[in-house]
Amino acid sequence: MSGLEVCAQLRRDARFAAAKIVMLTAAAQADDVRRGLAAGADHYLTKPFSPLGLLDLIETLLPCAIVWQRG
Amino acid sequence: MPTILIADDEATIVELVRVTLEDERIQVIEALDGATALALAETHRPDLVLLDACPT
Repeated sequence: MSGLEVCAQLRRDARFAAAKIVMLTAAAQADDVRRGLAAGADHYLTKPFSPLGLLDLIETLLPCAIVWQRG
Repeated sequence: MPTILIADDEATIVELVRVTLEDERIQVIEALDGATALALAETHRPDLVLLDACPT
């Protein structure tokens, strides 16, 4: 079962309506991005990705998730 | 504590996500395939799901 199928199944289930979904995809797989968004993903992240890029995206999608403890 | 589910068949990606997010006090649930990801989503009700486009 691909990530795209998982995404579509989660989006068909009302219990997961509030969950954010991010597709991880290799840069060359542009079609995966389009299919992921069509399947209901909120965003996508291109591999390879940096930890800070991941945190920035999560902070955007889940504003209260990250408590910055730096500096 | 927010919960994030990561589903990817690449162990290095799962490890990178886990280490990064646990440092931010985010609970990380890990799956190496899609079927496991769905089962874990049912159990843990994650706030956010990270899905590899093509896990095996």
